[in-house]
Amino acid sequence: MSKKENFLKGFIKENPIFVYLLGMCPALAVTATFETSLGMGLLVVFVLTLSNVVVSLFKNFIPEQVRTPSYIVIIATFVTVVRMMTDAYAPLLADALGVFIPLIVVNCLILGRAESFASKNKVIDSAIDGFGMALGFTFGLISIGVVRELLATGGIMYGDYLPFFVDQPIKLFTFDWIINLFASDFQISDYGLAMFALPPGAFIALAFILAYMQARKNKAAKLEEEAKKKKIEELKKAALELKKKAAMKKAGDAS
Amino acid sequence: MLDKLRIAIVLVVIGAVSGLTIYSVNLLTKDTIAQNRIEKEQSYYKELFFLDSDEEVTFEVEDFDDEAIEQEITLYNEAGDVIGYIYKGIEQNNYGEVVVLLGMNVDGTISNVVISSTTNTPTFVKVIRTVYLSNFQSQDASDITLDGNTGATYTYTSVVHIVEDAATYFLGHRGDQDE
Repeated sequence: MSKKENFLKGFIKENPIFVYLLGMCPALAVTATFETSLGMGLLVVFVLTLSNVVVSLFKNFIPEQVRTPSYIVIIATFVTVVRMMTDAYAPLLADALGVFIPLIVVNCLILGRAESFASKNKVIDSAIDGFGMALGFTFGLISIGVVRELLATGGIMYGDYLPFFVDQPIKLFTFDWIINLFASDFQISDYGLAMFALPPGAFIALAFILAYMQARKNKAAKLEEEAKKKKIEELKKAALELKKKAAMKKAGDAS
Repeated sequence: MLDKLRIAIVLVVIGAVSGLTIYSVNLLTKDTIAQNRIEKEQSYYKELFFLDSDEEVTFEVEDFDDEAIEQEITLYNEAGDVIGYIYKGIEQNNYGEVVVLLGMNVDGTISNVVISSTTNTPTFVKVIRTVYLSNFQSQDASDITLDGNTGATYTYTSVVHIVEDAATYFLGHRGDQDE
């Protein structure tokens, strides 16, 4: 596997959320808004990349018998570090994510990558794998967060929890300006489906996204199958032509 | 034997490096975290008495070691008159810590109650903050009745304990002030 393939596999082909259904706890619990999803994703990027690097660095020194507990201690260390950093520099995000920051320790994705990849591969490859998978996880969280926030409020906000780049909350996107082309003083937030900001909305949004991804996968598989059948038909046709030609030649020779 | 010794050494090294890492980051961040907590808590003081954000207030803090509540904060307006008392209580439950601030008017009625910080499940905390805490407003410290519809969570139970402790303290120490 090339480094590029290693990096990109986590986005669609082996996406932790949409393909392996790993890390469902944060995927359902902290994706009420785009911003909390992005915040959780960034924390996982930090923890997964660094834990993969450290596990890969020390894989030859850690005895087989204590492999899993050692990995958990390494992951827990990074999670404690991100928790303290979040408390210090993004306290509103820390409040919004609450107990789900310490719960990163038990995210199956992180221990899974340490066990299945970092403990068997070189440091650079492990770093790329961790970074790529974590970005894929972030992409998954953001997809759910965007769908939920759009349906719940009709827009996407930034600046409520993350203290970077803006001084006060801004609307990254809203349907208001499109609808106000046709109707004045329209506020899409008055017509939001509040359920999507609540836990049942997380399940429904995830179900829609999984169904969409599965439908695309099925369509691609169907197209591939059809292409394969077409190729076999063409090969059969070509073989029949060759047979026909050989028979004609034989008949010509005989006459 | 040597194998076991090797495992023990590796575990000790991993534990020590982890501990040192956490200790170093704690040294770097602890002051900022403490400052953030203080600022956040102070931002609630005006909210507890429904004061405008531009209103000038001063406060005095008294810490307790041997009381059920942690702190009593006396809030003064610009003229130096007491606006009310704020009681800070901390309770540990199965889901972690709950820090509650209760604003008590000088006449013994509860002005407002807020959850200052907590590690409890955010979804439940949000419901309690938005729906159930307002039940305490305007209740008399000597006769607090609890709404039956409370969400029935550990967080709410902790809030009730702290509210009762604050009311008991107020009645014991300042209950006769308005007479």
